Amino acid sequence: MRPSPLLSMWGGTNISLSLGFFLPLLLVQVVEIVDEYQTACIPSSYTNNDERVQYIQDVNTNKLCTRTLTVPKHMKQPIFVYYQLENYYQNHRRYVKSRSDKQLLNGDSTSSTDTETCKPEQFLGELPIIPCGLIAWSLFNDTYSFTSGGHAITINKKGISWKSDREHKFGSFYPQNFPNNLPNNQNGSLIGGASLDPNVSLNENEDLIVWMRTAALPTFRKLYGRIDQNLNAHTQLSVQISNNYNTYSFDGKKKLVLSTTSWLGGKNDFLGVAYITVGSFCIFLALAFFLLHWKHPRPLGDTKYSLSRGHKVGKPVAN
Amino acid sequence: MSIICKSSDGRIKLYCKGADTAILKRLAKDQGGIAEISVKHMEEFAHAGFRTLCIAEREIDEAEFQSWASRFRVASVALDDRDEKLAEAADSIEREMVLLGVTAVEDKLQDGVQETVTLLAQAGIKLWVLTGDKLETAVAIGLACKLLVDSMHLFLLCESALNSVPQMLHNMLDEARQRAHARTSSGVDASDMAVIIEGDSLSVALEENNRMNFLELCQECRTVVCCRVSPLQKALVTQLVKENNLAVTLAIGDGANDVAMIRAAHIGIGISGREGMAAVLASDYAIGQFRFLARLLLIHGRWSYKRNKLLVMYAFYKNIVCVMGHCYLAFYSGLSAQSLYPTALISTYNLFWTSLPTMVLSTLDQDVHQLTAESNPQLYAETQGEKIQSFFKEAGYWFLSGFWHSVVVFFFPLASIETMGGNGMLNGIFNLGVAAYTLCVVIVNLKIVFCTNSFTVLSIFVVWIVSVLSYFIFLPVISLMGQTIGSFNDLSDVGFKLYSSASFWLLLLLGVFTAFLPDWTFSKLLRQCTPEDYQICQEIEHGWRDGLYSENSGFVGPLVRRPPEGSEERNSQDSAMLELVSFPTRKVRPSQSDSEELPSRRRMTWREVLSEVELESISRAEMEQGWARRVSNGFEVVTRHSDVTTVPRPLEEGPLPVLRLRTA
Repeated sequence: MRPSPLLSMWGGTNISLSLGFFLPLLLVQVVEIVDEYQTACIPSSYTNNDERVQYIQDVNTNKLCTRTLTVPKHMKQPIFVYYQLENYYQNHRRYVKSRSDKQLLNGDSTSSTDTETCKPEQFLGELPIIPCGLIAWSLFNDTYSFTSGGHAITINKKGISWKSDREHKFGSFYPQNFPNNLPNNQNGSLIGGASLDPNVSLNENEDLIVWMRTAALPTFRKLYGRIDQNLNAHTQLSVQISNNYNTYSFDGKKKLVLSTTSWLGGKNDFLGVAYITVGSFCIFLALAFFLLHWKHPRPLGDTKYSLSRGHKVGKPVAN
Repeated sequence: MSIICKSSDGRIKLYCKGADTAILKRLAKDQGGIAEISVKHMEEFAHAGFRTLCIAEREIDEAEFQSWASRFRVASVALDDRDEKLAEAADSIEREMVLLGVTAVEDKLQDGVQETVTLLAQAGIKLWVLTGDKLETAVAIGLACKLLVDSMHLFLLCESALNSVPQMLHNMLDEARQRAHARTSSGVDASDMAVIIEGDSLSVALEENNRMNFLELCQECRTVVCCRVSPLQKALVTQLVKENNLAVTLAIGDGANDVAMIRAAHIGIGISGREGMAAVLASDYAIGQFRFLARLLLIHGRWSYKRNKLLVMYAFYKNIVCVMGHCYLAFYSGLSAQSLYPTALISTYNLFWTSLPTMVLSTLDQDVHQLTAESNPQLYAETQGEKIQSFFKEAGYWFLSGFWHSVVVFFFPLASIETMGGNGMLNGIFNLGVAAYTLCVVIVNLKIVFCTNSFTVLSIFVVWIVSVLSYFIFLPVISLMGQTIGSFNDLSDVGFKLYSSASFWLLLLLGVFTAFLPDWTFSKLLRQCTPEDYQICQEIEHGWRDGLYSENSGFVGPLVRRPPEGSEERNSQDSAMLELVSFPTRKVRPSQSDSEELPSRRRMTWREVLSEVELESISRAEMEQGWARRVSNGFEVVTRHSDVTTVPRPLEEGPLPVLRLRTA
């Protein structure tokens, strides 16, 4: 027998609503602190972006700045520290292409044809850059250190990248000829981001590994580290930020985020809200179909609706 | 057509066969009345439905033959106008012949022709007959096939006055329009007019000035019978309809003279049979008997049309759902043409995850059972009369559905997949891409399920097992491979990360529901309020009848249409109403009432009009065998061919022709 449309509607409603009720309940527990600091961390004597760019690019200026954060609710460990960038198109095609996975795995034994996609960050003069490409070159280099009530809070920076990346994507090779390691404008190179410690191999440099997993949207977060202790409500956190990264050339924003997670992930209401919305739509449609069946029933298989030659009918042919 | 041969005693003879008009023109003058008697006999044969031919001969002397042969040889190698020169040469020798006799061949109708013709007429297909036979033969066969019914109004254009054909067409067209208008305003469907036209009149009617009149006249009529048409004219008539009528033409024939027509029509069908394979070789489809045409059109043609439509629309739809993700991502990636999905997934989309369900749907899906389709020719009307508006409506629905699904496929993962659960790690661009792609594959395959009318083991298997399940197995496999193989590096470990995050699975469920909510609501609403015919038939097949359910479901027999109340049954009319709009050489006998049922103004039956047979001369024997009826509601069968062979009518003896070949 043909199932009644009402039954299917009711089924869908039940699923949707039940999930929709559960999801928001679970996400209520996620606590998040967001702090935007790119304007606040530059002395106010620099008023427009060009001056700020000069400030950032000048190696002699003091880039340290202190911010205060208040914990709104009790945050259970592990608390994840992220840096959030906005207006930063890590999903631009030229940017995403600009890497060589072969070189990341094999180091200096890759040929120059494999690193073709890394142009313009392929060679430093005549020597090959390891790791090559724009993604590695633009590595984020702000650092954060937290203190609370005089005690330093340790940030665990181990295990913040994907395990499979550490094992299968990055080899144990050391950075060579990295342009950011040189002073600015030597040999015509520009500093794009963080310099890489030549004594730390690629697969141990978790910041690089996290940064190289390119984000999907222009507003993105990347994991900086993990705090393995609880923070009580109304604690005052003091953060010392070294504001090294230049986002002022393109009017980007930098934010520091502390967040707990649940089984569903970080703070994201979308699934819960969507389930409730879809569920209510289902209820509404179920009611509408019920009314329709009640007021204008159509007996199934009724031959009065069959086509009469030459006419297209929806209503019965003869009354 | 002739042949010249030399007998063993040195005499040269020409033997010729052909239609009566052609041969009779070429006879020598002193035949002694044999020609008239032969003509009369031939007409009687033709009334009985035989196909007639005349045979004639001529003796040629040596000198004449030699001169003619050289002329003929010259003509056959001529460089220009070879056909005309050959015809001229042949014409010069085919004169002064002596009539040998008349042949009559019974060409039996195949089985099931009447039913087929009725079915096709009910399906809204107009049938025209184009034949090389005489008028009487064609009419007899038409009456036997039920193409022509006694109660039809007839427009007759025969050969006698060619220069009045244009004027006649004009008058007939006006009258036809009037009758059609009167008919539709009184609410009765199925116009019952017919046109009968002979070969020479047809060539006049196909001239530039008269074509459109002729075509319009034929459009108003239910049946058109063209007699004595040459193969070229058959093709010309077909082309006339094809070019101007904007209708789909189908030509069916079985002999070499039908090849031109078969090739000219949209669809050419050859019947393979006794007349050789010429028609079959030139045709698009070949069938064994005429009655298979009903199955070809009503079952296979109908399914093929629906499946084709579904296939094309679905192919556009599934690619819209997949590819629009790239367009939406462009707005988020600075219009840089970054692709949303990794290349390994893009290349397998149309190859693995969506191909088999599409193939199975578009080759095996049956919306109604074949017996239902064959018994209800009005279902065929769903494939006819497609206008541009209905195409845009249909395409618009699919495109709209595709765009909505693509919005769900892109924006829902975008909004819901960020962090991957309790370990705080974040998703990259290819996580988003793979999540969107998975949702896309699931939605697109579910759409196949929505569109499927007949669920078989194969269709369920290819959708769920081959496509969806194997995709879900493929994803972790290729994520594993991506760790080592360079070209799959984008996918490295993505599958595992997605599978382990609860938001991915919740997203799948939500996305599927949201995507199909509008589709499903819309289709159910349409089915509830304005059901299509085939949907009613589907419900009846499942056992519902007028709201009551019974267990014995099966195919649907012919759905009897209840006639609208108050309409007169036109079948109760008496014999043919024939108002001649032709010229006066065909005389209409004034009324001599023979029975009480006839109205005072007696109307001639077809046979009488066409053959000028007087009522009194119909023999008693014929009336007893039912060969003619004066009071009837139409001839059911004009001739019973089986009767003819058992009761041959005696031929009248005539004088022997002057020259006769004595066989040894």
